Amino acid sequence: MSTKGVFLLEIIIALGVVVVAILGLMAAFTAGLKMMNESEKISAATEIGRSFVEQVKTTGYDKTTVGTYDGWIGEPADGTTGFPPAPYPQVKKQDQDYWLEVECAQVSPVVRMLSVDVHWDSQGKVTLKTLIHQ
Amino acid sequence: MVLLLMSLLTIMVVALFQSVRNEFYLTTNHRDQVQALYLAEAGLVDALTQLELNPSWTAGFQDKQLPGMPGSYSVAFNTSGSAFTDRESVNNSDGTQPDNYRGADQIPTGYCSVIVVARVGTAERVLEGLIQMGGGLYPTDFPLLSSGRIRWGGQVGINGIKSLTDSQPVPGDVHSNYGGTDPDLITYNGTAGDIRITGKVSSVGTNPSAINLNGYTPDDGVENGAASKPIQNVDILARISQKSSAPAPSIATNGATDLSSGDLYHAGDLIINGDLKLNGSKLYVNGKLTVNGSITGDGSIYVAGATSFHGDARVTATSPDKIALYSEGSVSLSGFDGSAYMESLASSDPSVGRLWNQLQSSMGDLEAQLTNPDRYTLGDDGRVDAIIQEIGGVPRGSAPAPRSGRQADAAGQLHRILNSQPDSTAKRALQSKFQYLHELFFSYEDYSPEEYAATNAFLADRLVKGSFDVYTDWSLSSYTPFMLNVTRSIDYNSLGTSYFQGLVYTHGAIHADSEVNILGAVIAHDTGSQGPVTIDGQDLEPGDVFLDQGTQVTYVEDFFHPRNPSGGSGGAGAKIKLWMNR
Repeated sequence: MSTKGVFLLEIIIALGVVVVAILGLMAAFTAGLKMMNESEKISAATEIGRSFVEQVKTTGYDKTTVGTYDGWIGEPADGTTGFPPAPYPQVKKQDQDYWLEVECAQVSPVVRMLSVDVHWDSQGKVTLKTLIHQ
Repeated sequence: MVLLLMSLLTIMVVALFQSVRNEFYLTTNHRDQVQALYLAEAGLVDALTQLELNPSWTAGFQDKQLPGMPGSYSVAFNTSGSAFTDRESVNNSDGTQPDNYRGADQIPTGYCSVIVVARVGTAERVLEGLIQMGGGLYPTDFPLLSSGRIRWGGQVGINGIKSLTDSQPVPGDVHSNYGGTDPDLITYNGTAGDIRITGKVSSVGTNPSAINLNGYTPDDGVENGAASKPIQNVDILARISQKSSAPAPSIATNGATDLSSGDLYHAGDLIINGDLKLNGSKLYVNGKLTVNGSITGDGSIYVAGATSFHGDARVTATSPDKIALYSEGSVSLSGFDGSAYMESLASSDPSVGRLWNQLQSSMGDLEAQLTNPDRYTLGDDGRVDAIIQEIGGVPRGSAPAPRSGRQADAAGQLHRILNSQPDSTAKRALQSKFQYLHELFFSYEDYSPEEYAATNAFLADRLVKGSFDVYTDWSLSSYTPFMLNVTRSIDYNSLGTSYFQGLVYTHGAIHADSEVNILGAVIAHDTGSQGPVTIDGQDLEPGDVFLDQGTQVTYVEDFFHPRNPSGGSGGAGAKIKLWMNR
């Protein structure tokens, strides 16, 4: 029995294993890169949202205006109170654009609910909500 | 070789993937932590709002969510006062729960420790806030609210204002929870022109005559068969016992007592013969409190037993809780009780005791003589002539000497003895009274110009110095009924006035002989801890209110429902004083 064919078959199988392994590694590598990219955006969006909420809290209840403000479609801030404050409607961070969607709702005579969505695309966003007392 | 390279590559890629995955986990966890932090802050604001609406709020929240937001927040109160965990909030707005998980006496009265636990995914944030309650710690809408009957006499005014700086009127409603079918549960025995109530008077009693205001109709009418109004209970005894480690007040034996500021605790009954001055003090008395003199100043008084003020009272509650007087037992506000003052003095000085007893005995003998006069009663050297020497006369000429064992001019002597006593309202009032007696019973020299002048004045129906001497020397028997009335009207007390700025609250009855003026509210709440009492001849059940000499109660809404700055309802009385993130 000749061993030449067996040797070729072994090479083909080995190559197949190597290719599958490389494809798997590439897929894992790609997924890792995507995850890393997502992490960066979540982290940046969280920081943008946190900074925004802190700014609204610092300026106080009276500087808020009840309504919905969508930075994605470029809705302007309130002309009188300037609410929502910068960085609404949009901010760039590490070459990535982030849009803010802000909602301020009256939940009691002295309490408003502040909601902010920080988008980086149509799918990805971070949402923060809190209550602000007069 | 290839396998070696492949293995190496695999290890590197897997390591990279693990690292990125860890980073992703950390990133999402950070996001959840931030979301949880703002949820916890929302929980603190939510709790603040609840406490503004109800200062005794302890219901808490269980996994409460904000719409469209993952995660939830919770607030749980420990209301038992024991076995605290570091996740339990404590409401010490009324001073009954000063302890928390950190230890005993950690939360000041009027504060609430709120611990909010917020969770988003696996992230958890705990926020601990200390909320200072504003005014209005006792929620009431009524200037006068009782669980018993209400009786008024004299002039009555019940009204309401927004705040001490905003006289915009609010209804001055009066309500009694005393039910049944009996008539006259809320009564007024004065004249219709002397009563003004700017709100509604309502009674749970169903009898059409349950409210009998002697023909007067309040501005908002009356309502029989009204629904019972909730009266929030206050654990006065618990508040007092919690202050048992506070310093004791320094009480003067006689004369003025000037209290220091801050919490003061007195174990047992406390009787003050003289004036009492509060100086931002909170006086806790674990017994009865009796003040035979005036009580004035800024502060609050907590009494475990009955409270009796014999004299002018002027107490202004300056603490945020607006408590002027909390009394577990009945509250008696009357004029100055000179008898108690004198008996106190007599107990430490036998000579005072003899004169005081003689004076009262002589006055009693005089009244007996005038009640049943005979041929020996009047006339120069008659029985009355002898008695008046003992009271105020200075024997002259043919005037008889005092009876055996008695001295002349007891009133004048007592007046002089009081000179050495510390200055107080009691001393001044009694000296004035003794001087009056000394002059009324003074004996002039017979047929002297002074006696003739006094006679002319007396015949003109004027009581002047020496009137009794004139009456008896000239045997003016037609004046006997008049002089009997004069004799009977002489007492050693005065009506006085009682002014309280704040809340007056009792689990017993309220009885006032003095004119009562309250800027705040009056609550008489029968909790079953007290029994009936008889005060000045009036039989009172716990929760009864008897105000006989004129009443002015002005409800101050801001004391009990502080408004928020924009004027909306709910109020901004409470505020977050500090908070920490755990």
